[in-house]
Amino acid sequence: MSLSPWQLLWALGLPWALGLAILEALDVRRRAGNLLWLGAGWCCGALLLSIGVFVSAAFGSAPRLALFVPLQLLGIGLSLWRARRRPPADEAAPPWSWPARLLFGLALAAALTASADRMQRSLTTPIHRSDEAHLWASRARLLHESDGFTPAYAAQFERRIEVPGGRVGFFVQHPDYPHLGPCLQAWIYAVAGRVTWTENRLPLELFGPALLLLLAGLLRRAVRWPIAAGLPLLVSLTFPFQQALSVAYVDLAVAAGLLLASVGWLWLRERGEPRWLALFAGGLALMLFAKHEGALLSLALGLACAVDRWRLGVLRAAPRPPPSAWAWLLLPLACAASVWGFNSAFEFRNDLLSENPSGQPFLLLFVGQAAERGPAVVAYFARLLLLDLPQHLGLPAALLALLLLRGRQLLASPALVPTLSVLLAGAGFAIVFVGTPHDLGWHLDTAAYRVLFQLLPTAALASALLLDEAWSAAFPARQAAPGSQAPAP
Amino acid sequence: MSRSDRSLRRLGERGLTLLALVWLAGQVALGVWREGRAWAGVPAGERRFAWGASATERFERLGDVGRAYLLLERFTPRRADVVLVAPVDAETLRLHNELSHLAWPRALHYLAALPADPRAAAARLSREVWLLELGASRGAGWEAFAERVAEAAPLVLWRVQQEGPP
Repeated sequence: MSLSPWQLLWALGLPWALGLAILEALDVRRRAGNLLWLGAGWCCGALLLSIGVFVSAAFGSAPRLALFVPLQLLGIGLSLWRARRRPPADEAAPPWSWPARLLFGLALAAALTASADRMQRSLTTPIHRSDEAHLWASRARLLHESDGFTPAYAAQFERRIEVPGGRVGFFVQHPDYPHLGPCLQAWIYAVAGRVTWTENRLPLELFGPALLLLLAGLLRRAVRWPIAAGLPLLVSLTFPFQQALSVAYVDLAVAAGLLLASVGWLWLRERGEPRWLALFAGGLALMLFAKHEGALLSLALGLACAVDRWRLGVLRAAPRPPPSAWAWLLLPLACAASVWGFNSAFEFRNDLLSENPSGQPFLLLFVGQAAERGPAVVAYFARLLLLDLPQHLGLPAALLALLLLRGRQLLASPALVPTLSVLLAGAGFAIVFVGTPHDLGWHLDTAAYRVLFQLLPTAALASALLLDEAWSAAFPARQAAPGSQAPAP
Repeated sequence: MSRSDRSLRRLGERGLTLLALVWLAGQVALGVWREGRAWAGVPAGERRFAWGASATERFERLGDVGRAYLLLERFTPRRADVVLVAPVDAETLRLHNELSHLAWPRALHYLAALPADPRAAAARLSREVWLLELGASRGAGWEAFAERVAEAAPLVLWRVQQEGPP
């Protein structure tokens, strides 16, 4: 280990504390509960830290502790000062009996402990291969060694090596990908004062426990205890989740971003308060700053929210946030613009779009390949999601069954947005695979399970909400049982 | 809808809801059982190793690629040109790929066999040149123009001499 436990604690604790303090200033903790606050805190803190590292690199500097530590402490101090000036507004979670609370706590503790164990065991192997080396850690090392986005940084992308398939990037592959992963790893290098080989996985792996806390925090207030206890545990036991906890990929961050935005929307549609729009915007920004899939997921979520808003307008006068609150959406827009601006400045292009080996636009490829590849992609998705049970532990099958059961009531349900965004995003991924310029089998085998995993926590949220509604409809007499049900957020 | 239809529908809803609950509970149980087995199967000392091992111990667990990194890190300057000399096969390509990440900012090149004029080939590279030989090329006659520096079986590290007989 290059970092002492003490260094590691403050390297991860400082951005987490910053996120928690900002959410405290927005009064999220007392309204949404400690669990959701803790999960969202890491998402927000890590996002802000990575944006800070990106801005610093744009000005020609690798992250400097002398700048970043005081800035984060200042952010924490200002947020807590603002939080003190607010009137108290506790909104207690619905009462559960003590055995229910105990079982819920035990299930969550088991999920978090297993996650922490996976993360710990990933410390045994240095990062040296695969995407975690050549897509993410390599760019973090470049950022650290080149002192930001300097000419020395750009020069590394010109270097190519000969391999049997042609010339490929020597050290960095896919330099056009967004910046969350490299920036968070560069922060760990800054704290260590050198390149580390294992600990730089931790800030990205930490999105795993964060999304479990987010999911459990929302379900604690929205559904019955057996569902609230079971679904986060189920997500934590799936193969893709466990695998993501062992590597420095950014798929966990994308999954956490989609879940955070969905959670923010669920609160927003009920309350209309600006703080929930802030959470929604934070989730979108996290996805967009983590990976290109974030743009597709943001589009899917945006469409689902538009449908929900329209339905709410038809059904009842839904509360609306004040117009100024929509300024929070500048954050995801700025993240998308920064990725686009960076790629324009360095002339990086995406291999699926403008720089694909066939030289054809993606749309043409999609149209030309749809008849041949469409059925193969759908069959692959169906096999992976529905038949390969150990992968996702039956969650997609459960969501499908619940959709059949509750389909007619879906348009009036809070489950509409998570369900529709998962379905639209799944369709979007299928379109990408149909239009891929790469060998279809290779692309599906290497990427499909990872991108579909990004939808899994939100699919779990949708399943939980639908299952709770089905429970209420099927057993109405038990609905009023004390401690059995809570109002949706 | 008649009363019997409603009852039948309610029954169906109950059955499907229970089925979904039982299905998810079963999957949780399956996952817990699988995770429990995996937890018990972690070798003794693995968790202690995660926190307590040195960088050398970690890299040695990677096999050839880790040993190659340790050789390069200890004996070559950060801005060296390193030529990996080995026959073309999947193992060498893997080594090359993984070392290109570990050894950076050293530049990693690849050579399947000794060129006709190795000194001229080395001169074309801009920085100090090192050869990392992987097992099978042993005895290729490097001594004529390179100095043996270190060994970590099956890897041998050579420094290309700047002067002397070719």
